[in-house]
Amino acid sequence: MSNNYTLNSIYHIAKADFLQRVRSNNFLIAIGVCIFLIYSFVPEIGASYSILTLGNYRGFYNSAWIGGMVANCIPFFALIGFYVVNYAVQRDYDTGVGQIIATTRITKIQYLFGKLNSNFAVLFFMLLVIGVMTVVMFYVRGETTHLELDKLLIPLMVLGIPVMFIVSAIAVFMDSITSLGRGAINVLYFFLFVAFIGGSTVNPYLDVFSVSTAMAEISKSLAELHPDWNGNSASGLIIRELPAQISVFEWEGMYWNLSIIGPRLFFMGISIILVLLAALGFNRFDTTKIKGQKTKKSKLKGTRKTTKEPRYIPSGIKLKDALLPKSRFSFLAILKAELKMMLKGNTNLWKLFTLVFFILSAFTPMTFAYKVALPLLWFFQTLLLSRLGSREITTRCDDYIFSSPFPLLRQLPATLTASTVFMGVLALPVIMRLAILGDFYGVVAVLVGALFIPVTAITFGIVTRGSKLFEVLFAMTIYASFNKIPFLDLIGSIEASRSLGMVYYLFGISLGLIVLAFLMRKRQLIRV
Amino acid sequence: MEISINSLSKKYKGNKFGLKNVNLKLTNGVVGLIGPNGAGKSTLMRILATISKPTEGNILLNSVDIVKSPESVRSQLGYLPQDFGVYDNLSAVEFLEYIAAIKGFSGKEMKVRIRALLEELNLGPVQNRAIGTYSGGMKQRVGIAQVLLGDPKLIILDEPTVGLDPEERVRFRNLLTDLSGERIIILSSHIVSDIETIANDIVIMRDGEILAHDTPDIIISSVENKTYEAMIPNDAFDDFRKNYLVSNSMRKADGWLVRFVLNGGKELPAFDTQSIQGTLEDAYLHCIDISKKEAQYV
Repeated sequence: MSNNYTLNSIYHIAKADFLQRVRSNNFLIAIGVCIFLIYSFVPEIGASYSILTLGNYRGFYNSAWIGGMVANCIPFFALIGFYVVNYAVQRDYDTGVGQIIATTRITKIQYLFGKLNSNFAVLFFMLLVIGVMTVVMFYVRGETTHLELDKLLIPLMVLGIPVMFIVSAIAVFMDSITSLGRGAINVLYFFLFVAFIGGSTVNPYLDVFSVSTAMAEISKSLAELHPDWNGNSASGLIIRELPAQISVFEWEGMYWNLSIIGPRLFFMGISIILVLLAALGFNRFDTTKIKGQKTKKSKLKGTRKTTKEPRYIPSGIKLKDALLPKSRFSFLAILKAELKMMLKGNTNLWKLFTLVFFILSAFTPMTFAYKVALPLLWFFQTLLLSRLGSREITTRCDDYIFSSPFPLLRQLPATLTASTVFMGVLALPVIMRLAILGDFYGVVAVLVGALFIPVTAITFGIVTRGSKLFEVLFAMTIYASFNKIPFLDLIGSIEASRSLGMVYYLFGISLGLIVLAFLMRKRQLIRV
Repeated sequence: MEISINSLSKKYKGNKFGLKNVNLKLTNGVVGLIGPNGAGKSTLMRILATISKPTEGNILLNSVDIVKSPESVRSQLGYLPQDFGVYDNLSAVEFLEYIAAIKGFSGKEMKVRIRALLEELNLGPVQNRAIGTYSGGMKQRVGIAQVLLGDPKLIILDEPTVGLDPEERVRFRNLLTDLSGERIIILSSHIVSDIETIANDIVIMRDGEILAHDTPDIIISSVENKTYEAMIPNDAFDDFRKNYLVSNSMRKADGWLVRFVLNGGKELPAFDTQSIQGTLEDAYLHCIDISKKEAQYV
């Protein structure tokens, strides 16, 4: 096979995939989220939250400092980025394009490198948008108008490009292991992300998502310039009361050396190895080799090859003799059917995680159960919830479901109720324990969370006709709640969120989202 | 039951028409819609199924305008779209129970009807298997089953025989024949022979317009004394196809046995020809050919 063919095929796979994704509404939404985040990540001077906290010091808002603040937020984009680019291989399974690709001369390595490139192209485009927004923020928030583009943007690019490259490779790797399933991929990445965030300070070669690189440089510089600095530092979105006296120091920017560049090159090398490893396990769209499908078939009645198929005994009832069903709408029947459909077809891994964390939420110390087990238990339901709003359209059942009687008054309320009941049941151990402790605010907050999360999932699904927006935002919210950001606390487990009265806002937003869901579904029902 | 479609048009951006001033009156029985791709068959069916709105005109179902009151038809409707999906993780029984619940049917009678439907459509032995493991034809039959759940009085089937094997097509045709009675069944198909066997009313469409609407016998009579069979030598076959409206051809040892419709005032070819009985397919091709030629002159 010629080099020309190889490069050409990788280029065209990457190009087609890139265009398919950047032309979707989800990508536009992701870009919108990035723009909003950059706006928030460069806070006003004197804002009640900070991104880089350095005791009684703050940086002078020059190009280097703003560039440093944005570079410090790269991990957030790594989290969003994964959920934007994942499922690239799975989509080729779903659309059947994979079967066509499999019959061409293209090798597994070429195909997966094509996907790596398209993932990276999408994320690089995101980085460019973030870069442009950083320049905008320099003029919006800067304390000087002297723009030094290198100091403003090089940290974002030098630290961000390797991060986006490895995120692309992780997505290809996980995506090509088809037996994992989408739910497991989402959860696994989240834990991988949290693990690397935790390990980032241990060794620069574990700082995969560039969590502490910019902060370490800033701290070093501050310690040299102001030996009186107490060494207190924190990064990430932190709500705080401003110190009575705050000193300003002028940071001159990153000092680029091999100890910073070396790990980045190492991560890019690891990315290539990851894709090569993925090629070893990739089944090249041979669906008979998908473990998940085999499992699904084998557990269904009458499909086991090893056991004798149970003999089917016909009922002998002829259609023309069968009594005609009476039209008697039962909300309970549709609710039951909705619950059954929601719970059907989930993987064994999902069942295991759900069961383990349900038990943990009942029997572990209350702080852990409330602040860790319940959020994670709900987080495992991401995929189950995210498809609810767009299920009819993505499975192409919309035409006949939407032409059934009163689809707006029957099916949508049933989906909303079933998912809320399900989330509420999962939270039962925590709710009961909170009630026993007399924490009724907590009880109400968890109940509101059980309403807010599925309502958001369904509304976002209806509006975007896809599942990604909810998946991205929910992962970020859970991560933010672990970081004690009060206005993203969905269950009232953070003290500051209680004093803000977050539960009332969330309840109000839930009602607003329900109205929006109904309005948007009404629009979907009849296409003019 | 009577459906009256009056001056119905569907106009898209760029002055393109999906339907152009369609007028039809449909009564109980099986109505076959035929036409080339893009003729407007699916557009008409989607408007009848209340999931799309016309830009002009109205549809009266027993004097009630279904464009203004879609709920008046939904409770009596069974609709099979051309391109549809199913919930792969559910078994056929679970899926049909779900759709039945949405349509407002539940209880013991519904369970019995679902079982009877699945047996009628030859899905009994696989009814508890996840639909994701079904073949394309089996999924198509699940789609047909959901149409018939509540004994609908208006059945709309857009290409229902796609993916069905010959045996299943026969079974489906028999089922439709059994069902026809006090209801209107509208079906479209590219397989004209399917329509010919079942429909008692034929509508031929092209470019969003109705070209013909009549009983099969009257439509077939348009090619009476115009349908022929001839044996064409191999070297003359290409020229023959360019000059005559060929509805079928079969390779034989000494050339091609060709079935053709003589149209546009053409003379019989200088080969051994024989007049034969026209079919709906001949009539359909003849009708479309005339329409194309007329469009060229406009």
